[in-house]
Parts: sequence; C-alpha cells; structure tokens
Amino acid sequence: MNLNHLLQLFSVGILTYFFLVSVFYLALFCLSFVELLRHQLRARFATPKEILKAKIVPPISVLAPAYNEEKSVVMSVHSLLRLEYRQFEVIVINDGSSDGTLDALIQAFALKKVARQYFPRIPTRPVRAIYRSQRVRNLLVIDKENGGKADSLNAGINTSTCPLFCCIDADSILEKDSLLTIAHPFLEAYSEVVATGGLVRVANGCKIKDGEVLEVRTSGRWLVDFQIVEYFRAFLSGRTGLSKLNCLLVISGAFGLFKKEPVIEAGGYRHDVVGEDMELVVRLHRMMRDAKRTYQIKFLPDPVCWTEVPESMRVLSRQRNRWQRGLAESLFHNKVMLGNPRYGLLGMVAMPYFLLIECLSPVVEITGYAVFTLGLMRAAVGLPAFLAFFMLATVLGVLLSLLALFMEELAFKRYPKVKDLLRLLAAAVLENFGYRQYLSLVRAKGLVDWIRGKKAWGAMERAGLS
Amino acid sequence: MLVGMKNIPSDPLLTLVIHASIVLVLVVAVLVLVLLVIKFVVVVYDRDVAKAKRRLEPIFEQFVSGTAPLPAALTGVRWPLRGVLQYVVIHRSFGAEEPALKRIQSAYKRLGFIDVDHRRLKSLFWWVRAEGARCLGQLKVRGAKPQLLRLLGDPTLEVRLLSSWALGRLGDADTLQPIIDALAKDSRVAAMRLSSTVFEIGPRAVEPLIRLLRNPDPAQRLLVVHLLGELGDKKALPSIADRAKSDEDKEVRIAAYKALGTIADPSTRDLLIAGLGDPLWEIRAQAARGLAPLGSSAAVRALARCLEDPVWWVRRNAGEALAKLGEAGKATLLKAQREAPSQMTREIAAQWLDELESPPAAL
Repeated sequence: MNLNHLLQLFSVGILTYFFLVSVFYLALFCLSFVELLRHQLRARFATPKEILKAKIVPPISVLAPAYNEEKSVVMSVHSLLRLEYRQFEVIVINDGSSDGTLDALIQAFALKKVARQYFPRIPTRPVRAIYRSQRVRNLLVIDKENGGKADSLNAGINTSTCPLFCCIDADSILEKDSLLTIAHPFLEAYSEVVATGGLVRVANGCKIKDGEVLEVRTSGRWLVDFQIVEYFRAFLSGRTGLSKLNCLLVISGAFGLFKKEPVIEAGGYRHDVVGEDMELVVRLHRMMRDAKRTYQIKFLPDPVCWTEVPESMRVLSRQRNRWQRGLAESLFHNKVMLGNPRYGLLGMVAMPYFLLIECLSPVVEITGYAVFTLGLMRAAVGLPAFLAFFMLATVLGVLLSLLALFMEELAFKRYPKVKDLLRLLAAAVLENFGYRQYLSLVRAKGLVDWIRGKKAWGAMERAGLS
Repeated sequence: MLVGMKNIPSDPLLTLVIHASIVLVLVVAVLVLVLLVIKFVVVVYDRDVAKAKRRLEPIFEQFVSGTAPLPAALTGVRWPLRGVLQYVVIHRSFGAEEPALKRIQSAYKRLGFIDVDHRRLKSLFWWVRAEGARCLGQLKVRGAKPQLLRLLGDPTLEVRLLSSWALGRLGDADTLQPIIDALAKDSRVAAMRLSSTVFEIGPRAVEPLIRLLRNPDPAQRLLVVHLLGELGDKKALPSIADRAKSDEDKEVRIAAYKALGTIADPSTRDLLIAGLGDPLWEIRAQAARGLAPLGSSAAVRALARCLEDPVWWVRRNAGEALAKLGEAGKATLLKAQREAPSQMTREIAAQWLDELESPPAAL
C-alpha cells in the first residue's frame, strides 16, 4: 500500500466521519428547535412571578466559590443578593485567596465570625472560619484553605442548609429571575428532577451596572463575538436537544441547580479532575441508572447567567485545553457506560457522541486538513472529494452557526441593535475560517495533554465585569 | 465525478458520500433561509402590531373612561388588526375596577371576542385552548363556565391550570371540587396555581375545602390541607388538627402540622407540643417550626428537649423556634450551649445564638 492509497483510504474515512457528524448535528438541531419551541409555548402560560408568590418553593443555597476575585466579588455578591426568590441563602467560599477577596467581603458586608455548624459530609480542605453578614441575614462566607473549585463547592454543600444548591462562578452575574426559572422543573416534578442547568451568555461588551446587565451588546472584538456564536451553538442547538433525551452530560459550572442529597450520595465534586462540573453530572447519571431510579437532568434556555469570556487567544487556549482535558477525564472515569445498553440512550448515544464527536473530532479535523491538502497535491484525492470535505468542514459549520443564531433571535431577541446582529452574522461566518481550526488544534493538544497526565488549570485572567 | 483524474480509482462509497454531503449542505442552507424569512416576517409583524397598538389604545381608553357606545374606529377593525385590538382590550382589563371593568367586558362581548375565545377552546392546539381559557378568565366571562369545567379534563396540564384559574376568577366555590379532582395528582406548580384560584374565590372557598378534607384520595387531602394552610382561616383549624392527629397518610399528617404552624393559632399549641414527640421526624420538625410564633413555658421546655433530637432538621427548627421565643428561648439556648452533653446540641444552640446577635435582615 503506497502513500496515495493511504491518503485515499483516509479521505473516504474522514469524509464519511464528517458526513455522519453533520447529520447528527442537524438532527440535534432539529430536536433542539422543536423542544425550544415547546418550551417557549409553555413559558407563555407560566410566569416566574407566580413562583415568586408561592410558599411551596424549595429553599436554595447559592454557592459561589471565589479565588482571587477581589475586583469583582463584591459586585457579584450584591447581584446574587438581589435575586428574586422566596427563600435562599448565598454562600461565598473564599478558597484561600492570596489577594484581598476576603477583606473586600468583610468590609462590604460587615462580616463577623460565627460558630456555624460545619458538617463535612464530603471531605474537604480545612475550613478556617465561617462568617455571617451583620447587614444581610442570608449571606455566609466560608474561609478555607485552598483546594480548588471542586473542593470549594463541596465545602459550600457541607455548610448549606437548603435541600437544593445552585453553583455559580463568583465572577458571573445571574439575572434577577434566574433562580425562579431554573427551579421551575423542581416544582413540576420534585422527586424526579436531580439537576437543572441554565443558559450561559457572554457578558463582554454588555453595559453592566451594580451587577446587573442593563444593555446587551457585542464586544467589538471578533474573538469574543466568535465565542458568543459558539455559546449559542453549544447551548441552544446542542444541550436543549440532549436534555430532551435525558442525555445531558454537562451542566455548566457557571450556573447549575442540584438537589443536594443525590450529590452527597454520589460523593460530591471530584477535586482530582479539571472538568469537575461535567464529571459530577456524568456520575449522577450513572448512579441514578445503576440504582434504577427515575430521574431527570434538564437544561433550560430561560434562566440566564452572564459570564466573562477570554479576550485573548492565550487565555482562550488555556480554557479550551482545560475543557478538552475535562471532557476526556469525565468520559474515562465513567467509561463503563460507553456503548453499554444498560444505560439506555445515555450509554448508546450520548457517551459515544461525546467521545467520537466532541472528544475526537479535533484530531480527525486536523488530520482531514492534512490528508486532503496532501492528497490534492499528490493527485491522490480528487477535487470533488476535497470540495466535499471543505463543504462539510467549513460551509456546513457556517450554516449550523447561522441556524443557532437565528434560533436565538427567534426565541429570545436579546441583541436588539441591528449593528450587533450584523456583527454576529459576520462572526457566524468568519469563525469557520481560522478560529475554529485553531481551536481544533488547541483541543487536540488538550487531548494529548490529558494522555500525558497534565492536571493544571492554568491562570484565567479576567478584566472583571463592571 | 472522479473519472478523468489521473491515478484515482472511482470509489462508490466516496461518490455516495460526496453526493449526500451536497444534499445535506443544501438542506441546511434551505433551513437557514426559512429561518431568515421567518425572522423577517416576525420583525415586520412586530412593527405593524406596535403601530396598530399606538393607534387603537387611545381610542379604547377614551371609550372606557366615557359613557359613549363603542366607536366605529373599533367596531370597524378587521383582520389582522382584530387580534391586536383583542389584546388591547385584555391588557386594559388588568387591574381594572368597576365601572371601567364593566365597560371593558361589554366591549369585549360587543366586538365578538367572546365568541372567538369560545371557538379557541375547541382548537386542536393546546396553546390556543389555553389562551382562550386565559382570556375568558381574565374578562370573567360567566357564560364560559361549562366549557371551562369541561377543559378541566384536558390532556394538557397548561390547559387544565388555566381553566382552573379562569374558574377561580368567576368566584364560584362549587368549582373547587372539580378543580381539585383535575389537579390533585399534578405537580407542585398545579398546587401553586390552585392557590391563586382559591384566593380568587376568597373566604367562600373555606367550607367546601373543609368538606374535601374527608375525601378518600390522600393526594386530594394533601392538596386541600396545603390550601387551607395558605388561606389561613381559623374555621379550618379543627379539621386540620383532626388530619394531623389521625390521617392514615403520612404526607397528609406532615402537611397538616405545617398548616397548623402557618396559621399559628394559640388553640393548636398543645397539639404542636404533642407533635414534638411524634415518631416521624418530619412531624417533629414541622411542630417545632410551628411553635415559634406561639410560645409558652411548656413549649420552651419541649423545644429544649428537641435540641437533642437525632435528626438535624428537628434540632435546627427547635433552635430557630427558641430563638424567636424571646428571653425564655434565649436563656434555653444559652444553657444548652454551655451545658448540653452532646456536641451537636451545643453547636446548634451556638448557631442560633449567633443568629440572635445579628441585626434584622436588610438588603
């Protein structure tokens, strides 16, 4: 077998792979679209305000891990305290910050040390002190030794007094009715629902004042706008459909609501992985299915969390490298479910999807570019095959991005200015020429790093939402 | 397609994939175009609706605040603006009192919208039926009662909920039984919506609900106990107390103790104190919670014993109740913090003493 034959073989394989992946994405989009439509119709007849009036809503502990967030933590906590919900507490976990995070909180909220009971039902790094605000009754701050985000969340779970907990990032902003809407499935079927995830939107460029998003805008930076479109694709076109099949394997660590007891039963967040959010959700699925319990893990498009995304390629690369490692870890630690009919659609569809598409597609894509370019040069691959690959790898990517953008526009219309819409339209096209390919390289490296055993998070620099 | 390229054999699979890819890309491109067209239509429609509303609202407002009959500018409105006019009328009815409400209702009827809503109730699409029920409920159309009662058997929850809400708006207590029959086994959301229905009916709902406490279905009794607790009418206390003592369903008993705590009448103090010794921890926890606003030296002594309860929720609620029982409660917590043999008890007492020292909540 000579090189040309090898290139031909690879080209057929890669083209077939891309075709099947594209069919899957299209099917997922259609499922998501129908589900979003149904959701929007139902939402017309049930407003969050009704939940606000009810006395039967389950209380929620909002857990906000904070590490070196002195620039934004006070504003974030203010915005959390303004959430509209009948009964909730905010627990900020200061994870051994080396900057002035704790001091900023003590000063802003008149914190005082209390003898609060701390049950470490999930083992954590030692807790140094628990503070209660003298001004705001439902604010607690835990000061603990550094242990990472997972460890912080576990400490928050141990301290919380509510049956549900909501994990968010300390530098994110929740909309006022986000708790109301994310808790809604628990009201509908409390005994079944185990976790719900909300929509994460990009805050960069938006007008934000006192922890509230006043005006939604694009940022003027192409890198950020590409990420806006990516988030639409991932959340609206992807997670909505997977949620419908009860195959949602990831709830964003930036915004998720969980029932506390099943999480404790599952052992809490693992602190030896980088993708602790996805790993927990996969483990919850596994635990519930092993126990043959009826359950749901859902994604909802209404409750919104605004978060800051990387504005430099360097930080973005670190983030995507980490996400890819987290994905590989989560799949690896729960590999017993892969292709296992005992786990139903989860084992037979969702896990293979995440492995073969989300995890391996960067490697296949890069290989594809190499194979088809080399093949064309050596006349081993014909022009039609090359064009077909280009269509599937790039043109279809543009179209799928446009579909996600239109879906967002039809359902939510969060970008009122025409200028922003046009910019996002352009981003949906341009991201497929260079940006996506670069991220495929980054993700492929992430996979290699995971194989080599790399564990570090990498520094995430933030400008702070203001 | 591959023939003619040097050294490249034709591959049927490759050809198939190429052709399929072209079809796939075309399908997705068509989808994008369809969505683009829909977006364009929505933008134009929204603009036209906004323009129509700006024109119709002042005319309708003038009608509502006057005594003249409906002007031709409104009666002459044709499709598609009739849809806009209907919602101008509906929105004007929010918060409207007599005599404005009567004017709005008469306009709604005169403009033929009641007939439109009646037809909607028979639609194949659940969201149209739900919307019809909502509009009829908002305008308190009594003539819709039989159809709304029929819709309580609708297969879609939203339709049942809105029909029950609309029936509540009509204010007839005799609709409670069919509403509860329709919603008892549904979600908490149903129970929550039922609260608003019951509040719409008001005090006249209490007697029918008390009678429903004898229903053989525990799901219904559970729902009714919740509702009576929310209504807070003391006439229901003997019946709720009866359910608390002797209902065969555990959840109903727990809900009954919760309702007693919510109503917080001194006549139930002894029953709540007795509940602190119940074998079920949920009842002990609810009883502890319920004693917070009632207070008495017997309650303080009983709550002090609950600080030693093996279940955290019971200790927590007992601590909270003591924290709210003034000096006697505080003294009990102090004593527990210093002298209790169990660390759990000392810690929960310390926790609630910390709470007492915090100033009242302020945002």
